[in-house]
Amino acid sequence: MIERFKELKRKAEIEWENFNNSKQIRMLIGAATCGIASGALKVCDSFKKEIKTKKIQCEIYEVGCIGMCYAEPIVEICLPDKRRIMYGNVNEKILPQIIDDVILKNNPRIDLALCTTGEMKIPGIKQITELPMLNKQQRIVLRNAGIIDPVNINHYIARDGYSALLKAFTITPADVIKEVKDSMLRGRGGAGFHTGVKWEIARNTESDIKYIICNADEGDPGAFMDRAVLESDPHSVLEGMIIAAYAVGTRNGYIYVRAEYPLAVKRLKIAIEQAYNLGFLGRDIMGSGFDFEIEIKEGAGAFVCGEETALIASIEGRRGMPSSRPPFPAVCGLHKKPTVINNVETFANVPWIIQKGADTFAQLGTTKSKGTKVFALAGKVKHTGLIEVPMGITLKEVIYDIGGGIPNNKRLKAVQTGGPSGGCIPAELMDLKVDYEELTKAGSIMGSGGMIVLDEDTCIVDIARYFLEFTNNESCGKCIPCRIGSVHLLQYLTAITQGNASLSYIDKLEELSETIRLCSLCGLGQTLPNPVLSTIKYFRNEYEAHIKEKHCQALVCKDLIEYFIDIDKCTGCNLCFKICPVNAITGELKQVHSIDSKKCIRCGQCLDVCPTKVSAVKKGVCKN
Amino acid sequence: MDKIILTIDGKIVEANPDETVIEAAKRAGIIIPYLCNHEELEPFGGCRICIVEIEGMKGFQTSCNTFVKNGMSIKTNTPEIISYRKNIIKLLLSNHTSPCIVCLHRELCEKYRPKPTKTGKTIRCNTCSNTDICELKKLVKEYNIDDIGLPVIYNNIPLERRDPFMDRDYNLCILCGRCVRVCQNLHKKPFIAFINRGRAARIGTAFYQDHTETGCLFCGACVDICTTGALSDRYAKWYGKEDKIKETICDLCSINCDFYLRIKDNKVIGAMAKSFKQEHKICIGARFILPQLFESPKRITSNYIKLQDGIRKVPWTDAVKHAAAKLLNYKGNQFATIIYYNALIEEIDILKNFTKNVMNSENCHVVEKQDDKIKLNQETKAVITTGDYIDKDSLKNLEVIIALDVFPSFMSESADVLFALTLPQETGEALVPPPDSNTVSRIICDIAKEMGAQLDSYIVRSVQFAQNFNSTIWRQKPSYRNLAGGTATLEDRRQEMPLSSPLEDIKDLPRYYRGHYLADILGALRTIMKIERQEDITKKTEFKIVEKQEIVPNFHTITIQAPDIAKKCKPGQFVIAMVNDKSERIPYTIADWNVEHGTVTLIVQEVGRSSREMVMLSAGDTLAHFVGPLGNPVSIKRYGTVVCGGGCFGVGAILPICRELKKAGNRVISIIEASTHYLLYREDKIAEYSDKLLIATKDGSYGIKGGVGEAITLLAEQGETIDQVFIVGCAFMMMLVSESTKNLGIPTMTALNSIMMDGTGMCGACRVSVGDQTKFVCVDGTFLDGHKINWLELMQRLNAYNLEEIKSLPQDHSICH
Repeated sequence: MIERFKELKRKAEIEWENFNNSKQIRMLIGAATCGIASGALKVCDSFKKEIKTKKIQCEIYEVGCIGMCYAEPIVEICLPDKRRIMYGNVNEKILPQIIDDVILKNNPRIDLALCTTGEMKIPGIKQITELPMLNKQQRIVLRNAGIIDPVNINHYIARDGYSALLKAFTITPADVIKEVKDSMLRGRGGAGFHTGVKWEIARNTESDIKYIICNADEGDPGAFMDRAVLESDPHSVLEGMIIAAYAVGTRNGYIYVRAEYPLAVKRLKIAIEQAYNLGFLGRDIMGSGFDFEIEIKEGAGAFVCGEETALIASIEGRRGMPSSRPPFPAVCGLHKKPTVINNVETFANVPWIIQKGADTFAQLGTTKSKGTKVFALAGKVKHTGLIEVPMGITLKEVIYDIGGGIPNNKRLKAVQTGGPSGGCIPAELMDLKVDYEELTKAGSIMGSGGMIVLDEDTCIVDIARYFLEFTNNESCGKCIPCRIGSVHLLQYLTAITQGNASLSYIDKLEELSETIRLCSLCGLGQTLPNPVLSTIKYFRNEYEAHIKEKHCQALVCKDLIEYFIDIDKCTGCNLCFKICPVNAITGELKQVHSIDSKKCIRCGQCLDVCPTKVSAVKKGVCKN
Repeated sequence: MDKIILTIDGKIVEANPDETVIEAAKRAGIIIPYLCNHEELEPFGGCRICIVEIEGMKGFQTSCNTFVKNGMSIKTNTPEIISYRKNIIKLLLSNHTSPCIVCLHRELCEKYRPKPTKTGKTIRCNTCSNTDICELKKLVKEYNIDDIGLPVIYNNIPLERRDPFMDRDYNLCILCGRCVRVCQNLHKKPFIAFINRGRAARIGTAFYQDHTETGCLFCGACVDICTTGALSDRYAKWYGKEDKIKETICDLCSINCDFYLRIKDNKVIGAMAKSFKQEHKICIGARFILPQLFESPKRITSNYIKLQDGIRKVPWTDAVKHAAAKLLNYKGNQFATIIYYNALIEEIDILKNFTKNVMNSENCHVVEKQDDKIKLNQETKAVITTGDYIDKDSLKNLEVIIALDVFPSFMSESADVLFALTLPQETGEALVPPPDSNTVSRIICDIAKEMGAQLDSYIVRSVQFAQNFNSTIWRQKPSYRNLAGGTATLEDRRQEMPLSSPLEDIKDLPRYYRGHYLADILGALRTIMKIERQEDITKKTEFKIVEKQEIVPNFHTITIQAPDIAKKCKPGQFVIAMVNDKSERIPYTIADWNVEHGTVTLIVQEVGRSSREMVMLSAGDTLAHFVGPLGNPVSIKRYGTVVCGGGCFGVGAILPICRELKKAGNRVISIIEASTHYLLYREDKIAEYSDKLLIATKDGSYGIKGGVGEAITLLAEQGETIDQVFIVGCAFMMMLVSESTKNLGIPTMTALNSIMMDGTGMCGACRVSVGDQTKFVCVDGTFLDGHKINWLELMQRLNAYNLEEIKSLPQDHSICH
C-alpha cells in the first residue's frame, strides 16, 4: 500500500518540480468563476494571440482562485530565471505591455505588478506573503488554491495530497474519529456541530448501509467559499470525504452541488475520475481493502436544499423540503440510513488535521472554536475576495487590515455575516472576535462564511428587506410560520421603506419574528428573522427615522428620496434628458434641466449619466 | 415490545414504542390540536399547531412526528404554547379567505344566511361549501380568536374548474399536504405535488396540466381529506354535511368495490371511500359517477304502459297486470329475457326460473359485456329486458317489450310496459328509491303471480334478500354472479381479483351502465371521455356585451349595448336579463348608464347557475333578452343630508343614486361595506359624487370594522344629522342597517331583491310584507321602507328554492371557467 503511494508521489513530485522550475516561460491565470467573470478567458485568448504573433514559447495554465477578487483577472508570469510576478486587473490593454516589457524586455514593470511569488525577490515589488490581504491569513482550506492546477491530481499529491488518507489507513477508524474530535473541528456550514461527534454517532448506529454527503449547495447571496474550494482544490474535499467514509464505515458518498456552479461540477468530475484512475476511489483503495464510491448530484437551485433534511429529500428524488429533526441524519438520513452530511470546507479541513495532527489544528482559534474559517469578503471594502483567517481574529482586522478599509473615504456602518440567516453587526462592535459563540451573542451567526461590509450609503432597513425578500422567495412553503410569516415581515419592512408605517410596526416585527424563530420547522425559518432582529437591535433609530420623519439617511429608499438638478451646475448637456426612461426630465439643449418628481421613478440613471465634472444631478430627502 | 412510560401534562401515560406523542396523548385523553396531521397518513410536521414542550429538548417540538421515549416529560398547553399556537392560527387566517371568522355579525349571518353563494370563488366562510366541517374554523372557535391582527393577504389564484368533478380553489389551501400524501399512498405515481417556492408555493399538477390530462383517476381521496374547502366535489359541495352514511357496493364493473354513500334528507349527495387505505381505494365510478346516477334528473321514476292512444303513467299494480296480460299470449321460444351485465346471481336465478318454469322458454340471455346488444331469434316476439340491451334490428320483430330500466332509451320508448327499477344499492332502510319503483326480483315475482304461476321458495328468499340487500345479508358476504352466470362466491372472487379498484387508467372506465352510454346520462363525463360537446345555444345579435371585467373575485362589471334602455334609465331601477332562450329571467340593478354610447352597465355577482352563465360571457357575446328599465326610480329631491350605503353587488348600484342626489343639492355621505379589503371596488368613483366616503369592512382589514349600520351609528355619534338613508345590498345586510337606523329614527329606504319572474307585477313571486300591506317589489319598489319590512319572512322566501338552485348547477365543465 505504502509503496504504491510512494511511487505515485514520486512521479507527482517530479511533475510538480518540472512545473515550478521549468526553463519555459509560463503564464498562470486565475480561472475560477470569479476570474472568468472578470474576463480571464478573454485575457487568456488575447495572450495566446499575442504570443503567437510575437513567436514566444510560453505555456499557459489555468489555476484556481487565489482569493484576491478585487484584482481579478490575475495573471502570474513565471520567467525561466525562477522569477514569478503576479499582475492584477489585467485587461486587453495592459496585456501587450506586460508581454513586451516583462517577457521580451525583461522589465518586471514594478508599476503594474501586484506581488511576487516563489523564492526570487524583485526589489520594489512586495512578496505575496507581505501583501496586507494575505499576511494575516492562515490558509488551511485554501492551502492549494491558486497555486496548483486544479485539474492535475499530481500537483495535489506533490503538495502532500492524499498522504493524510494513507496515514488514516494506518490507524483505526476510531482513532481517526478521535483525532477529528480532539481537533474540535466544527461544521463549517454554519451550525457549528462538532464533526467528530457527528461521525461517531453515525459510526455507532448499526446499519448495513451508511452514506457520506458533501453539502456543496451554497446558496447565500454573496457567498462563494465552497465554489472557490471546489474549483481550486477539489481533491482536498475528496480526500476529506474518503477519510470520513473510512472513519464512519461507509461505501457510498454523494456530493450535492449546485447546478449553477458548472465549473465546479466540471472540475469535480475530472477530479473524481483522476482519483478513480489512481486508485484513491473505487474498490480496494490503495490496497487497503476499503471501498468507496462518490457520485455527484446536481441540485436544481433551491436555497433550502442546503438544509440537510431537504438535501436528503432532493437526493432521494423528492421535493427539497425539510423534515423535522430528530431523528438526525446521522441516525436516520438518506434512504433512512445513517448519513454524515458535512460542508465542503469541513471536509477540506480534514486531511490537514490528519496530516498535521489535532493539536496543531487546536492551537489555532479560540477556546470553543478552533482552526480557521474561510470568508467571502464582499461589499463596500477595498480588497474584496476570499480569505481564510484563524478563529478569534477581530472584525476590525478583517475589514481594515485584510480588506484594506472602506473605499472612497466612507464610514463603516455595519458588517453582515451569515447571509440571509445572519445579522448585521454595527461598527461599534468591530472589536468582536470572530467565532461561533461571539457572533451568535451579537445577534448574527457564523453561517457558511459570507461577510458583507456595509458603508454609510447603505440603508439598514433596505438591507433587512433585501434579505427577507430572498428568504421569502426561497421558503419551501411547508410550514406556516416561515411561509406566511416571512410575507408579513416583508410587507411591514416594505411599508417602512415606503414611509407608510407607524411606530407599532417595529413591535409587530419583533413579535412576529419571535413566532417565526420559535415555531418554524427548519433552520431557514428559524433564522430568517435574524436580519430584522439584529438591525432593530442596533439601528432602531434608523427604523424610527424612516417611520416618523420619513427620512432615509442613506438615500436609498426610493419612496423617501427625490432626484433634482442643481440649477447652478447644470450645463444643459441633455444627457439625462435622453436617458430618462419615463420622460420626467425637461429642458432644452444648453439650458438648465429639471426633473418632475411626480413622473420620476427613481431609477437613478440620470445621476449615473451626469458627468462627474458637472455632477448637477443629485438625490436628496423627499420634501413632500 | 416493552411499553414506554412518559408524562404528559403531569399525567403518567403508557405508550407503545412506535407511537407518536400526539397518539399517546390522544389515548390518554389529552387532545393536541393539529391541521396537517391525519391518522391514516404519515406525519408531515408542517402546520406547527401541535407544538409541545419536551423537557430537555430545545424550543418546541411538533408532537405529530416526535416518537415517544421512556421518561419523556411533555407539556402540551402552557400559556406560552397556547399563545404561539394562536399566533400561528392568526398567520394562517391572514392568508386564508376568512373575514367571516372575525365578523361581528357572524352568528346572525349564519342563522339567516340569505342565499348562500353556490358558485364562484369562495371569498369568505359563509360562502364556503366546507363551512360546516372546516377544521380550521373549528380550531379558531376552540382558541377563541376574534382578531387576526395582521394584514389580510389574498393571493387571487384563479379557481380551477377544468375537470368535470372537482373544484380547486387554492386561495383556501393551507398547504397541509394531506392531498399530496394521500395521492402518494393510493397511487403508484401521485398526480399532485407541491409546486413552486416561497409565497407562490402551492399544490398542483405537473406543468399545470388539467387533471384529465395527468392521468388522474378521480378517486376523490384528495377532496375527502382536504382540511379546508380548497378542494371540493362540485356535485356535492353545496349540500353540506351528510346526515348519515350507508355502506354499499358499486355495480359499474365486476369488481364491486364497497364504499359509503353520503345521504342527506334521503338523498344521495355523494360518496366516500371507507378509509384512505389501499384496500378501500375506489375509482371515479363509485366516488363520482354512481351517486350522480342515483340522483340523475333523467332517471325513470314511474311505471308506464303503452296504449293505443299513447303512453300512460300507471300505478304499480296496473303495470304488473298489464304486463301479465300481454305475456299470456306468448309461450316457449317466442319469449326471451335479458338480464344485465353485472347482475346479482339471485336476480339471474329468478329470471331464469321465470323464463323456464313460467314461460317454458330457453331464451334467458345474460349480457356478457357492458356494451353488448343482444340479437334475438326471429321467432322471439315478446321480451323482458333489464336495460338497453336489444339490438335495433331485433326490436322490429318484437310485439311485446317489457322493460325494467333506470334510464330512458330508444328501447324503453318503444316498450309496452316500462317499470322504473330500483337499484340493488337503494334497497334497505337507508335510502328511498324513486316512488313507484322496485327491484328486478319483486317485479318478476309479481308478474309471475299475476300469471298464476308458482315460483319456488328459493326465489321468495331471493326477493327478501334483494330487499334487504344492504342490511344484514350483505355483511355475510352472499354469492355474486360471475360472467358465465355461474356459481362463484364473493370469497372466490376476492381471491381472484384485487380488493380495491383495478382502475389504473381512466380509459378503462366502464362506458356503459345497464346498456346506457354513460356520457349520454352524465354530460360531465364527456370531458373525461374526450367527446366534443355540441354548442346548442342560439345567440341573437341584439344586446351586445361591450365590456366585461372581473373587478374583484366573483364581481363582474358587464356593459351592454342597449340604447333604448339607456335613454330611459333612472337611479334605482333594474333590468331583467336572459343569456339565452332557455335561461332564467334574472333581475339586475342598473349600476350605471351612458346615453351617449347607448350602454347600460351592470354589476353581477356570481352566485348561482344563471349568474354564472352571465359572467361566463365575454365582450362581443350577446344576450338573448334584456328588458328594462323596470321598477320605480328613487325619488330624487332635496332631503338635506343623505346617506347612501352599499354592500356587495349594491356598491355598484349606489353610484347613480349618489350622483343624482348630489345634483339635487343634497349633502351625500356614501358608505361602502365589504367583508374584507380585497372585495372593495369603485371607491374612487363613488368618492367623486359624495361629500364624504366611509369604508367599512367586516373583518376590519380596511376602514371601520363592521358594516354600514356601524358606520351610520358612528356618524350619528359624531353629531351628524342624517335626514334620509338609502341602502342597496343583500337582505341580511339591509336588515341590520334598518335595525340601527330604526333606533336612530332615520327614515330608511332599502332596495329589495326578492325572487322575481316577470318583473311587471303579474306573477306575484316578489311579494313582501311591508307593515300590514303586501307589496310587489317589481312594481311597488324596488325601494321600500326598511323599518316596516318583515325581513325574516323575506329571507325565508329567498331560501325557498335552495335545493333546486343547487340541483340546477351545471356539472359539465364546458360551461364553467
